[in-house]
Amino acid sequence: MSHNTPPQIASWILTRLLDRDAREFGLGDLQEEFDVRARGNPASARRWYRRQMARAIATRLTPRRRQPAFLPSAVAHLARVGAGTVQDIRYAARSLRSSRAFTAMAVLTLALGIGATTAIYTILDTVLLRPLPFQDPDRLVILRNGFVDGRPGEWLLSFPDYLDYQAGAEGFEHLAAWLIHTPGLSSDDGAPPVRIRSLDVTWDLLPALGIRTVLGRAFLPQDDRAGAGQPTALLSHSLWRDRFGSDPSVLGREIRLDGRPYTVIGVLPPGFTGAIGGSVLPATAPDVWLPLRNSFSADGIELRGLSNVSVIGRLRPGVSLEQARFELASIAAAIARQFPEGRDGEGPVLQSAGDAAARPVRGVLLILFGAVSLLLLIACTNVASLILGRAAARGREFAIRAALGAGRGRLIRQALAESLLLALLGGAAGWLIAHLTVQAMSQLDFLSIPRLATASVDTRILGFLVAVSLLTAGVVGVVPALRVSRPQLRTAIKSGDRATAGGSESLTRQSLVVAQIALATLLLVGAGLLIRSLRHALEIDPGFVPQSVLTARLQLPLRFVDPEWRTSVDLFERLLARIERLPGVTSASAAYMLPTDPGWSNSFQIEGPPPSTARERKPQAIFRPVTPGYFRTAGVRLHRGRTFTARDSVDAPRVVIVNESFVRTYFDDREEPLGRSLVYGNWWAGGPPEYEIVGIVEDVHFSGRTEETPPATYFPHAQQPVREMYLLVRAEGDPWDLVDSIRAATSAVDPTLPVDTVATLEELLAETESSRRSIALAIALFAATALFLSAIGVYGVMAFLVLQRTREFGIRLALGASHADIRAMVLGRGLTLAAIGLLIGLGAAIPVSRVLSGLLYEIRPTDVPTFTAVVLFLGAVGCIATWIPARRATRIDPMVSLRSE
Amino acid sequence: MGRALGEFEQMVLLALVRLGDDAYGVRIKEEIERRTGRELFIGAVYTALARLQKSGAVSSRVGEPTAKRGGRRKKFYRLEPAGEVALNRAYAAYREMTSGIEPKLESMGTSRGSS
Repeated sequence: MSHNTPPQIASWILTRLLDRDAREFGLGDLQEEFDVRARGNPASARRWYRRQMARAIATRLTPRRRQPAFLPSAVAHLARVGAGTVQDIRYAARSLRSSRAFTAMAVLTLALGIGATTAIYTILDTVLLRPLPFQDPDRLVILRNGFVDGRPGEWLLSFPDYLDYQAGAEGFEHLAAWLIHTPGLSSDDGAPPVRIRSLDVTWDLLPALGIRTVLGRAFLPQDDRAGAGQPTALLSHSLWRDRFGSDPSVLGREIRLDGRPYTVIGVLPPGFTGAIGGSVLPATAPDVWLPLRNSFSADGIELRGLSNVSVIGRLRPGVSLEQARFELASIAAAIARQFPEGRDGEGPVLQSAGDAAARPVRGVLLILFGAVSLLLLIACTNVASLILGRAAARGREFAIRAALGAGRGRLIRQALAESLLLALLGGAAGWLIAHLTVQAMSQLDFLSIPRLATASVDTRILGFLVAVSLLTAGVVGVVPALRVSRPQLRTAIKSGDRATAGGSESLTRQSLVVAQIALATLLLVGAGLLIRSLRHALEIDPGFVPQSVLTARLQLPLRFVDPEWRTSVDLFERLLARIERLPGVTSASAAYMLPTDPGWSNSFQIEGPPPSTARERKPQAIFRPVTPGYFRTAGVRLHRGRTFTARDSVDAPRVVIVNESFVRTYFDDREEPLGRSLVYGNWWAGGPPEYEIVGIVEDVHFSGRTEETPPATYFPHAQQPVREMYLLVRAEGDPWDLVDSIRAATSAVDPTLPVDTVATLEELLAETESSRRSIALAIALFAATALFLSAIGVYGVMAFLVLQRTREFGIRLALGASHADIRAMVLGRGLTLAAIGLLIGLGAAIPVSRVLSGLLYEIRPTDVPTFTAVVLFLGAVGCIATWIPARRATRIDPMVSLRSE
Repeated sequence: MGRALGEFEQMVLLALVRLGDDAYGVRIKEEIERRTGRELFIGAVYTALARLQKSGAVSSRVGEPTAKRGGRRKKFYRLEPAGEVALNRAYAAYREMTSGIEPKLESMGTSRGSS
C-alpha cells in the first residue's frame, strides 16, 4: 500500500455513504485534497481522510430536516429509523412531561394494576408453583388417616400404626414421623428457662427430605431408640447463631430441655427452617430436633389410641402414588384385623407433599389472582381510555404533522413510544408496589403461609412484570395509534380540536368505561359477599366468653411427674388458689388446650347396649382435661348435670362431661346420656377405664366460629393429668394488667416454672378468623382500587365529552336551553354508561360469585342485600364522577364557546 | 429566489464569486476554510450547493476526467442571476447594518485580547 493513496477501508465506506449523483465528484474532491495533504505529511493526510469518513457517518446519523443530497436512500432510510426512534422517545418524554396530570394518572393506574398482580402472582408462585425446597420433591408424600369413603376429614396416625406401615411398605425409601413439642431450654447463667420449639422426629426424617447437617452429624438409628443412653439433639441454624454465637465447639456440649440433658451432635443448614405448613412440616420453624423415641415424645407413643404423629415419606424412584396407595391399603387392612377397635371407616390417605402444602391456600390464592386480574384489566382499560382521550384531543396536532409529511408508520411509532414509556414507568412503579405489598403480607402473616417469608419479587416475576407492562403498552398503544393514523386531514385541521373525536372513537371510550364499571361491579360484589360473611361469622357465639381472659402456657418439667401425678395436680391446685387471691382476678383455671384449639382426639366405646343412632363414624371425641373452675372462667355454660369439683380427685369415681355435639352424635333424642359411661382402651394405664357422664355443656367452636364443633369430652384434671396446661385467668379489668402478678405467683410456687405464650383469649379467637379477615381485606382493597380507577375513567370520559361538545352546548344555550337542561344531558349520559356497566357486571357476578361459595358463610352467592348495596354504592360514585363535568358544562358562556372556534 | 440566505450559503456563494470558472467542490471548501479558518466537511458543501441549485441560485456542469483525481470528473458550479440578486441583497443588508459602526465592530473582542 502506497503512502499517497487514501486508506482503503475509509475509501470503501465513503463510496457506500455517498449518493450516486455526488459519489464521483465527492470522492474526486476528497482524493484531490488528500493528495495535497499527503505531500506535506502522509500520515496526517490519512488521519484526515479517516476523519472525513467519520464525519460522513455522523452526518448520516444526525437527524436533519433535509438529508444531504448525496446519501444513498437505503442507508438514509435506516439512519432515519434509528435517529427517529431516539427522537420518538425524546419527543414522547417531552410530551408526557408537558401533560403531568395525564401522565400521573396513567402511571398510577398502571402501577396499581401491575403492582397488585405481581404481588399476588409472587405469592402464588412461592406457594403453588415453586417445588418444595427439598431434594426430588416430587417423590415426597404425606400419609394421614381419613375416611375410606372419601368424606372430608383427616387425622394423624398413632405411632404403632406408623411403625406397621413403615415395616410393611416396600414402595418407600423412607417413611418418617414427626411431632412438635415446646420444651423449656435452661440457660447456664441461672436465668429462667426459655420456651423453644422442638421437632421430635424419627431418625430417617432428614434423609427422607435430603437435608444434611452443616456441622456435626445427623441422627442415626441408634440415636432414635428408647433408653439409648443420653439423648442427642440437632440445633437449627438460627438457634445455633442466636444462642450459641455460631460457635463450632457446640458439638458434644450438653443442653437441658425441661431439665433433661441432651448432647448436641449437629447443626442444620441455614436455608432450612423446617417450616412448611399444610401438614408437611410444622408451620412454625423448630429450634431443636430430637430423636422421637428417646425424648419427651416417647411418653405414650406405644398406644394405638393416641393419634399424634405426622408421617412424611419418600417414594422409591418409579413407584407411583397409586401403587403406594395400594400397598398401604393392604397394610391398613392387616392392622385393622389385628386391632379392630375404633377403626370403622378409617383408611390411609396418601397425597403428594407439594399438594398437601399448597392445599390450605390454593383456592384462596386462585380467587385472589382472579380478582387481581380483573383489577389489571380495569387498569388497562383505564389507560387505554386515557390515551384515547388524549389522542383525540391532539387530533389536530397529529393531522398537521401528517400534512407536513409524517408517515402513517411514523405516527404509529410515535404513539407507541409514548405508550411504551408509560408502561415502563408504570412497570417500575408497579414493581415498587409489588415489593412493598409482598413485604407487608409476609410481615402481617397473610393467610399464615410460612413460606411467604422466603417470597421476593425475583427475576422470573420481574420478567412476568415486564411482559405485563409491554402487553399493556401494546393494548393501550396500538388502538389509538391506528386510529390516529387515519385522520381526515382536512377536516381535522380546519375544525381544530372539537370536531375530531367522531362517533367511533367516542364509542370506543364509552365502551371501555362500561367495561370498567362492569369489572368493578364484579369485584365489589365479591368484596361485599366476603365482608358480609365475615360479619355473619363474627356474630356467632363462640361458645365461651373471650373478653377479659388472659391465657398462658405452663408445661411442667418431667420431675413433677410421679406415678399418680399427685405432685403436679397438687402444684396446679396451689398455683390456681394463689392466682385467684390476686387483686383484679375473678377466677382462675387450667386446661389442656385453649378453647380456640381443637388439640387431640381420643377414641372410646360407649358402655352398655349400642345407642340406636347410626354409627358409621369412629367414636372419637376431643380430649380435654380441665380444672374445676374451667367452665366458670372460660364462660362455657352448663346445660344439664353438674360441673367438676375438687372432690373429683384421682381417688374418686371417674367422671366426664360431654358437649352437645357429643350428645347429638352418639345419642338419639330418647336416650339419656347422663349416667352412661365411656370406656377407654389402654389410654390411661393408672386407673379404671370407665368414665361416667355427669354433665352436658354447650358447644365451643374450637377451630373458629364458622367451623362445626366436633364431639368433645372434658375430664377432671386430677383424673386425667397432662404436663402441658394452659392457664385461663378472668380479670375484672384489662387482663394485660395481670401478667406480672401471675408470673410472680407462678415463681412463688416454683421458681423454675416457665410461663410463656401469654395472650388474651380475645386475640386468640380473632386469630382463628384471620384468614377470613385477610381474604375479605384483600378483596375489599382490590375492589376499592377498582372503584377508584373506574371513577377516574367515568370522570375522564365525561370531562372529555363536555370539552368536545362545548360549542354544541353554547349553541343550545344561545337557542334557549337552560343550564339545567345541559346538566341533565351530561348527567344522563354518564349515568347511562354507569347503569349499562352495572347491569353487565351484576349479570356476570351471579355466575362468577359462585367461585367464592367455599369462602362464604351463611350467605348465598346471590345475596340480595350485597347486590343492592353495590348498586347504590356504584351509583353514588357514578353520580359524583359525572357531577363535576356536568357542573362544568353549565358554566359555559355561549358567547365564549362560539368564539372559541 | 425569495428567501434570505443562510450564513453558510452566503459563504458558498461568495466563494463562487472569488473562484470564477474554477469553482468545484474541494476549491470552494478550501476557499472558505482558508479565509474563515474553520474546517469543513465536503458533504456540508455539497448539501449547501444542492440546496442553492434547487432554489436556482447556482447551476452546475460536469468537467472532464483528470488523472490527478484518480480519473474522476469534477462538478463545476456557477452563480446564477437569482443567486446574484440574493447575494447582493444579503450584502446590502449587511452593509446597512454595519455602516458607521465598523470601527466599533472591529475593536470588538480584540480589546479583551485573547492571544
